[in-house]
Amino acid sequence: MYRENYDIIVIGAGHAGCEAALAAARMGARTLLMTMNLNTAARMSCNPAIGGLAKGHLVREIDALGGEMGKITDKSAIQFRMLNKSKGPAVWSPRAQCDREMYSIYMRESLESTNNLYLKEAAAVGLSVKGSKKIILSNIGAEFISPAVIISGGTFLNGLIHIGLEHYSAGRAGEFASDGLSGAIGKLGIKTGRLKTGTPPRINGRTINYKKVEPQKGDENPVPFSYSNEKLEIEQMDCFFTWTTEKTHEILRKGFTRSPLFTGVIEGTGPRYCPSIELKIERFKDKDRHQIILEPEGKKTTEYYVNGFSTSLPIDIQIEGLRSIPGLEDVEMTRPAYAIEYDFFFPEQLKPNLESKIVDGLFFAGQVNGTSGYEEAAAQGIMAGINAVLKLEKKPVFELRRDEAYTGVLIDDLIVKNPSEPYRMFTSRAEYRLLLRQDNADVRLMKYGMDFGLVNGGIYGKTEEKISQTKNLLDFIKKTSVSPDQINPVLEKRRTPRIKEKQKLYKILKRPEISLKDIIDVIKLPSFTGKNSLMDIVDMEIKYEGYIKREKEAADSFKKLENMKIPEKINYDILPSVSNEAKENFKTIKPVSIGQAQRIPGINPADITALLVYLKKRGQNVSRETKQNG
Amino acid sequence: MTIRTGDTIAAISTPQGVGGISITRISGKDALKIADKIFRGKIPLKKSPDKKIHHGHIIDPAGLETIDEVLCMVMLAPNTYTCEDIVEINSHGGAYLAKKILRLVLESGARLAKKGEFTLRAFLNGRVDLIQAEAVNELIEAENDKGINISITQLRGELSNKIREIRKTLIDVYALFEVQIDFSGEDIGNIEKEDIFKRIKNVEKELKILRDSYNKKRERLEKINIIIAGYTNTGKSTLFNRIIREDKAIVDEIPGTTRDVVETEMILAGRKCRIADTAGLRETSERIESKGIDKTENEIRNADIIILVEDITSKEDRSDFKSVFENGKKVIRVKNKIDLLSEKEFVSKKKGNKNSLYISAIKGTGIKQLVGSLEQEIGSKGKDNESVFIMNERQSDLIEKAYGEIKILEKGLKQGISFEYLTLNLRSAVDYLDETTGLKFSEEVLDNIFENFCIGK
Repeated sequence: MYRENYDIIVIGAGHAGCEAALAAARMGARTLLMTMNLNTAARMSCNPAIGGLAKGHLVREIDALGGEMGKITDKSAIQFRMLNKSKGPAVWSPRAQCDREMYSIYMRESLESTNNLYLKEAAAVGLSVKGSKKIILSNIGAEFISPAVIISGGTFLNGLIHIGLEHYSAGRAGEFASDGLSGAIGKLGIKTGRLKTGTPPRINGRTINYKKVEPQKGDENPVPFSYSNEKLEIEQMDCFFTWTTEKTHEILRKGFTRSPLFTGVIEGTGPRYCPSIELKIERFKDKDRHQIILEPEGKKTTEYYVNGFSTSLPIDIQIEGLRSIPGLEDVEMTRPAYAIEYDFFFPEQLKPNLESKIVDGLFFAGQVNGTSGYEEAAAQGIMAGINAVLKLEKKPVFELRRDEAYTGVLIDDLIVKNPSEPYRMFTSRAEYRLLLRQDNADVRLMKYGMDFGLVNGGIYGKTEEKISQTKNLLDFIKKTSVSPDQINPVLEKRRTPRIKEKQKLYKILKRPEISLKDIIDVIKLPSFTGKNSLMDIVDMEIKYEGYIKREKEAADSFKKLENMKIPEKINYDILPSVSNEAKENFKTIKPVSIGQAQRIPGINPADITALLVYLKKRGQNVSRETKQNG
Repeated sequence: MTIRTGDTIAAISTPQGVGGISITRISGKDALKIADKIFRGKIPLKKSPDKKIHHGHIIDPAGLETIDEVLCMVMLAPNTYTCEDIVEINSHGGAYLAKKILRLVLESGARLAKKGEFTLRAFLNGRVDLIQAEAVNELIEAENDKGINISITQLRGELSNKIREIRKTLIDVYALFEVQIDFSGEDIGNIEKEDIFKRIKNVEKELKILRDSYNKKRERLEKINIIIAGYTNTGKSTLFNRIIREDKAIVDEIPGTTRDVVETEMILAGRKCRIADTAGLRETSERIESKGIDKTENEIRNADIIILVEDITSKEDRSDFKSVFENGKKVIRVKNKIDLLSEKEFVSKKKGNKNSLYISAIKGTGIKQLVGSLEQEIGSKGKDNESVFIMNERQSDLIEKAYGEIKILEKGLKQGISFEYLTLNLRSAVDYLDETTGLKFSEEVLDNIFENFCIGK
């Protein structure tokens, strides 16, 4: 058998695999990236868009850590929008429509131009462990061997596509499923489960009646995803709104008897937050229409993605249904919608560094851990890549806390809560979201990227400059006083009471009606203030000082519990006054800290008290024994 | 399985000192085994069915001498107070005997229970929540029927239920906010600000009621103030003596001159009452008397119930008296000295006035009826609609904090502050409520609560 040796092997070149392989190779590890099709690296299987609420935060974090997703998005984007602009900056989130084809091409370009990174078109069909070595058996008659392996197979493991009552084996429409790998992993003692997701149809844009749909434009001044890009010059494309009708619902209902979802053919659990159109109709019977957004697939194609019409109903129903939607009366469907079932590995079997608790050196990232979404996958990918290298170098693991990053929230939720449906990130999952803004991901995380050699010094310099400028502007505002003559015209214009004597600018900016932009013409601010984003942030920090302070205090007390570490080898069976169920939970999750133990579902405060008392006693005994020995 | 491992604990559950019987309680997985070492009855306790009482003797296993004749009650896990096996040994009273038995139990393998440990186990085993655990303590310390009623209400979990209800509303609103943040791009429709405002207002009201209930509860547990008032020479002092003779449960008597307020404590309708005789109301130039009258006016101001005594034989019109009593105070009108009237005179007087009680303090006529109306009045004082009460400072403090958060939230809603900030207030409010019921973890709080338990319960 032909054999090759590597430091790290990444199986699967989706969003997780690409980030993992890039991080590992850039950190100096000899890395093999295996994929069943090199032309579809970093392929967006579903929505041709990156970012969105909370997901945009993840992309910014990946970028701050030195990942690729943000940069590729900036290169391939065809429309930018900052979501949630009507709310505070903490929950603003960037989203971009991307050119599906170009995204793959640019990512492959990055992969190919990275030293230490070896690309191979080969399917992994077996995985065995010999000592610290993992042997990957491929379908091209070669074995690939390495001490660390990252599994990032997406929806490909035993993938099964459903269209109506027809189904066939596939990893994604038009691509083979991966057979054998998940079985081999299962044989190592790792538990697998089954999940389901779906995607809507694609249509020919030339058959849309644009007079009947409503355009959605991109932002005038697009904000780049990557901290390495200051400005973007792109020609943006429009998306289009339309709505389903009562007629549509009637047509779809006709097909329910041939729905694999309703007839029980599909066994995997689907995402509740992204229901298929048939589920929406079924569950919200009183709603007479559902929003549909037509999203362009790219610049060199006329295909559109029909957002909101995800379904696994049979093809005749899909076409008839689409044609009952205003603007789509004469539509030609190019690719049908489908549901896909796939294997995943219960994430509670992972350590915080995404390494298996069962097989040393075996890492898991992306959809195989039960998540959904490109961004969730990519965030795990970069973390797995970094940690695989750290493992080989025998360095401490790299974890992000929940108060530090959405990425930290994501991984902690996966390993502690072991979600039973595809996991998607939401801002509400982050307890400290006021601190985790999309604009300060660099401030929060770039130093780590620097330490790992994934971020170049020049870019980090910009971040450091931003940090000091923010501080300087705040200091300036706190120091500076304004006279009634200077400020009263502005106050009047904004319909807020005039001042009678000199007042600190800081106090003026506390008023909800007044922002820095209003006073920029009357007060000379430091020269660097010109950047809008800086003013937004400083405005917010002044106006919501109380809330932000509270959140920081909460994060501080949270950190205390996270720092109360639980030793790895602890016999949960002998814990007094703890139910067997709680003991089982402790044993499965093996919490690393009291903070984490608390978050385990089914663990109540009394269990934590018992655990604390036990640890305290244990500590005492240890010290007593030491004394006796001495 | 709710049966927990852990050691077996024991303590004397009845108060220290001489009493009719003493109860020594053993709880834990070895409770039966330990009790069997020192108990000799018809069958070993370990063969006993659940909730059975066994007659037998406690012996000292060392010398085999009999210590006492006892009744042993066996309660098997999980349906017991602690959710563990429990044996209760009912021995004859007296500190010496009970202590001797406890010592034998401890020598046989049990550990002396710490303060509040039985209840701690009930809590740890999930049988009671924090509020209920606290209610047990209140129950032990309750001084009168009202206190006991309130505690039992809590033990049934009514306060916990109320808090859960409020919590549910907050979580609902929370979810509405989050939808607006995390799904704003989707077709979710606009938030009904008015509706949210209404719900928050309602929570605010509920929390306020809860918060205020702490003071109400204290009021309830405090004494009811009953005043005997009237003009001079209407027989107030005689009546006072009659009433206190009627009730045997005199707690304390404070002597005073006839001109001063004479008062005593007694239990009426299950409530602790303070009953006071006052100096007669009459314009007077005499110094001591006028001083006494000042005091009387003060008493009337602070009274919960006033017994207004009038002389039925007096010709004077006393209707001007009304002005002395503020609104809301219960006045029981009493016409005294009916023994001085002939049957005919009595009937004609009674015809004109149906709102009064007719008594003879000196002969004891009508005193039972008067005490009856007093009890009825006292009973009705406890009967407001709220049955849910905050029990202690800890709960009161947390509810107050939750209330504070809701107030800020309401203000923020009015100002149009973005939802992601307001969720902070919501989260805090829910956290405080959870802490009240013990859903939230906090070591100090638990320690504090369980330290306040008397041993053996």
